[in-house]
Amino acid sequence: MRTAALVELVARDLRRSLRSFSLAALGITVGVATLAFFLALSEAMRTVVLGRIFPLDQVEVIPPESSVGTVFSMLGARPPGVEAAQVDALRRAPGVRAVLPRMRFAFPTSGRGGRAVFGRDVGAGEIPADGVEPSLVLQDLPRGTDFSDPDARSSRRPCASTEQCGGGEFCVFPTIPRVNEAPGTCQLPIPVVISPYLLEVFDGVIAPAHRLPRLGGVIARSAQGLTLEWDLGRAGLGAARQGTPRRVYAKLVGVSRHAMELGLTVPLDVARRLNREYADEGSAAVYSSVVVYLGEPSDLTRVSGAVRAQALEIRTSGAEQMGLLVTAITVILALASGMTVLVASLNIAHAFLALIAERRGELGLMRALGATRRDVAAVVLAQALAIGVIASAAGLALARGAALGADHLARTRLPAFPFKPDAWFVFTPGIVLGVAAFGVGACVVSALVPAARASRTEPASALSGGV
Amino acid sequence: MALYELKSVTRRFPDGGRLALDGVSLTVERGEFVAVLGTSGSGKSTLLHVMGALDRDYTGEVLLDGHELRGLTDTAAAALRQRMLGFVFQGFHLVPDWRVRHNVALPASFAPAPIPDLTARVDAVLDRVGLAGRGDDLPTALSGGQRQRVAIARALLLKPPVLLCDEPTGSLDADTGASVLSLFQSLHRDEGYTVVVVTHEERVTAIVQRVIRLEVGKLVDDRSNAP
Repeated sequence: MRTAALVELVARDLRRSLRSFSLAALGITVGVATLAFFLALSEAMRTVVLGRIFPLDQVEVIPPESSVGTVFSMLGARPPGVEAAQVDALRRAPGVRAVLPRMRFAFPTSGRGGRAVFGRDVGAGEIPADGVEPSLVLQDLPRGTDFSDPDARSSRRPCASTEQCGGGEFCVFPTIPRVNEAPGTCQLPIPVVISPYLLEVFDGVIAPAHRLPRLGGVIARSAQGLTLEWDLGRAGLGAARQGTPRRVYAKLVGVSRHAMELGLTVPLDVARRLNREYADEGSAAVYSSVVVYLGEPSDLTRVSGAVRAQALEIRTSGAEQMGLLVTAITVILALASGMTVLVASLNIAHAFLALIAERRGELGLMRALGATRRDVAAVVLAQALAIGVIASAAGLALARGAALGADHLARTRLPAFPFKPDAWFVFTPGIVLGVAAFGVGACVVSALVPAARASRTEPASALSGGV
Repeated sequence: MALYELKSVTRRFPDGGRLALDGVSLTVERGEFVAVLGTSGSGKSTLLHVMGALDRDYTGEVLLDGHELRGLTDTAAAALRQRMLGFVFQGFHLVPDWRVRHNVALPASFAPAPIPDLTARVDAVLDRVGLAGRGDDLPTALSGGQRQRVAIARALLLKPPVLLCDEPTGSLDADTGASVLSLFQSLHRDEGYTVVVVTHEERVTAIVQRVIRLEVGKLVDDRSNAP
């Protein structure tokens, strides 16, 4: 039978077929819709959880005791660290794409700022901070952003106030509290980046509580606008064990997923310089952690071995657990939806069997008019294919519509919270094509037995009745 | 060579018991108009199914245009039916949800190549059976006689040389049946169709060239009939 003739025949009979299969087709539609809906939801969750919160292509390697490093830092004590030799060993380990060290500030800091954005200064009594290789964060920043130690580029002209500096410099005094006789010098602000996690926490929790504007919008408009008075060597819980506390200026230059989760991240040279000044030479030589980039997520096992060989450990991010949780939920929901489709396909099979019994005369007539057994089977399977295509397309459209509705409700009714996604559903081509193939395939497979039975129709006995 | 040649054809009923056809031998020449008469259960419909390659579970030989039907593959039998035979049944066998023209065009779906000018050909056969302009009607809008004419138009679409008709007037009243028989007569006389009509109605004998009678599966009479 020619394909064009088959298509024309099935298209002509489609309305009648859909009438006969309305209930079963509805089941396919609902099953496909729920399957696509849940898979798209799962994909979006996976994007947020594993893409933004727990990236799968990297691990953070820390010294064994490093979990209390922040407390060490706040108290001005020297935290344990990763030696340069260990970093080099990790760089040579198989499965490692890149190793980028981080150096936590080994002394306390505090700060305030944001008047230009918030209308008043917002302060923090303790500001953890660290330094990273600029290359780690530059990929997340706007092209041309300067993320380097500004110390050598500062003019250091004497000044009594920032107004006397210009050129983006601030007047930095050598001590706090300020001593009247001591002159200040003009210095460029230290570039800092913050993490999307901090941004989410600020926008989702702090900003609403203090009626402050959300920072996300400000960052999106201009990352250059926010400056901070940053007190080095002095904070609410104590002071640095060496050096003279002073107030410098920091400029927020952007958001990077490689920035410290709850704190500020500066260029590594800044961290090294300030640790030397406010802690000791040792704190300027060891790293608080290193970010190890994997060649492939599957390299994690090999890299874990290399990390253990260096007497270091991988900071548990929860990525594996969250990934497993998302996968488990996806599987459960997908199984439920898949069962719906399978039950519907059983209904399709029953409906086809009933239809074949009902239209036995027509099948016999087709044989009398020149149809082969294969032609008859092809007609049944093509009808199933058509029903599957229509039901699956309707199901996908239903899922898309429901997703749009849910997105609208989430956008307008749900309060802001950290990592609240812009879209709760991601319909990838793989999901759309896969679910459609599943729906269509279930219909076609369910029609295999009826098609075989139809093809065995004996025309002589089938034509004994009439229409 | 005769169009049909049946030699000692025997067919048991599907239950394996009684014989539906019992050693039937006959020939049908091209262009003949033949009536097969018999009472219910005489085997006349079975004979038509065997001659139409719809039932090939027989013993003996059935040659159509030189082809032994039982030896054909399913595909070859289907192709032979399409090329050689047009069927008309008592129950019309129209698809009720399709328009008349789509019912008539159904055989073209199974043709090995597209039929050129199919629409025109459908209109032509509808015109030939007296249903010009009814192509867009549904079968449910037609009378019984008109439905049977649609079925005849369908049988004529691919211009097969043979029409096999199983009780074509069985569902029609006397006048309508007479007009349908008259159509067969016209097709035979004017266009040279070989027509085999299986019926229990004696009035058919008045218009056919030859009458074959079956009783309990046996051919009991085969005579020419001057109409």
